[in-house]
Amino acid sequence: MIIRSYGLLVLLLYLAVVLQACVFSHLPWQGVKPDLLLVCVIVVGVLHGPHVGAGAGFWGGLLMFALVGRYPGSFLVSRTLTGFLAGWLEKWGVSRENVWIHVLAVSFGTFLCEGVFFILYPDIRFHNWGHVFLFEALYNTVLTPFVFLVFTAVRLNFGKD
Amino acid sequence: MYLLLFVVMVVVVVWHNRTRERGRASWPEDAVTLVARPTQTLFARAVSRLSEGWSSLREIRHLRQENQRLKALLAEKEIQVEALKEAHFEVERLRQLVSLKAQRPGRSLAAEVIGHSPSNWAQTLILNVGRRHGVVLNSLVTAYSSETNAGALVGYVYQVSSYTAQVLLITDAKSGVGAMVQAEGRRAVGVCKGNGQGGCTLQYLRKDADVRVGDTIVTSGQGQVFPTKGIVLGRVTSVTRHDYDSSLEAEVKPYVDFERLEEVLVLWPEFPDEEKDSDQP
Repeated sequence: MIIRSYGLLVLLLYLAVVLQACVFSHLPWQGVKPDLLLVCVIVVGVLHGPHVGAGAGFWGGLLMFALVGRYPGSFLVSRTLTGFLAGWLEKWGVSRENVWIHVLAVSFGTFLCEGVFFILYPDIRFHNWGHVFLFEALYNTVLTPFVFLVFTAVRLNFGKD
Repeated sequence: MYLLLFVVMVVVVVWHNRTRERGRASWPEDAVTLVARPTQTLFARAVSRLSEGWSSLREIRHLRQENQRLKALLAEKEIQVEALKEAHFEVERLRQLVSLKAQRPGRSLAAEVIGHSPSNWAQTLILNVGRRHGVVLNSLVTAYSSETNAGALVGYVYQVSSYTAQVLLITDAKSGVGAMVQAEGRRAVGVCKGNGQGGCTLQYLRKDADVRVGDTIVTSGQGQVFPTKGIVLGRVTSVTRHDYDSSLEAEVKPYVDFERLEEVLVLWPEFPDEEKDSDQP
């Protein structure tokens, strides 16, 4: 059951990155694409705890690096850290099943992830980063309920995290 | 009584035979047809109307069936028309690629764009050709631009895998192309750097350079990655002069719409060098 869940998670994250590269890249809002993979990582982190979140973030970062072909460290560190911290919310006693918690987590998680990316990749101009971060966070927030529905519907089970 | 009838019958028959010889109807016949004519006409018309009505009813049923069949046929044809339109567009794009190929006599390969960068921080494309198709590092990538009716620069191949190649667009923040103004007597040379937001900035121009809005920017042939001269990049949209700066900058709008790019032409580098990585991001 746990192996199946991990396999399904790997597959879902792979589908998310393919969707992002082939579909969402054609649907920019103010020139900014959503980061569907990041939304998935944060939702998985909140639903299944810090370790699964970190694992999902690591795999997501690896997929991003594979498709972009650059910034492996920035992608891996920012996504893994975000997944881990999203899972950490549980320690603060928040409800994992509440969609609004996920929406909030995604907004703050996008800020955290892109903030870490900005620190690790300082070539980005600050005003450019601000523009991308703002619209990406809003776009990601809109997508969160749908991603939440998918991940609650597939009922992943990773045992006691 | 019967005798009388018989007599009348004989008279009628004899009369009829006599008048038939002259080719005329007998007076009883005349009388009967005269009386019957209006009734016959009435009945004939009524029957005709009824027959027409019945035919119409049958025809409506037939028409309904035919209408349904034609609607289905129309829907099928519409799908075919759409497919043909798509094929026409594809043929048009491929024709443009072929014309590009003719403009560039070197070795080249047509490729399809199968993906864009999933990250907002990298302006890249993924092509459906790779090492197995002969693509090498630093190959230039161009696409047809309807604005110039020629090939415009898209970027260059910065990573090749067996079946795909990744292209760094000229709009990426890490991209820098040796560029110059294509104008008689005003050949200002600089570097066209991507701004990471879908545009480019022509930098390091001499402060006294005569760069005007609307000028076409082409590759200068300077630099290792883009040694080819004269490939169009874009059009100047604004020129910025700062008093404190020793050079001026010009914003350049690329001729290629990268979001809608479907097919590109990969041009082999003039000096292929797999190991060359000095211009790599």
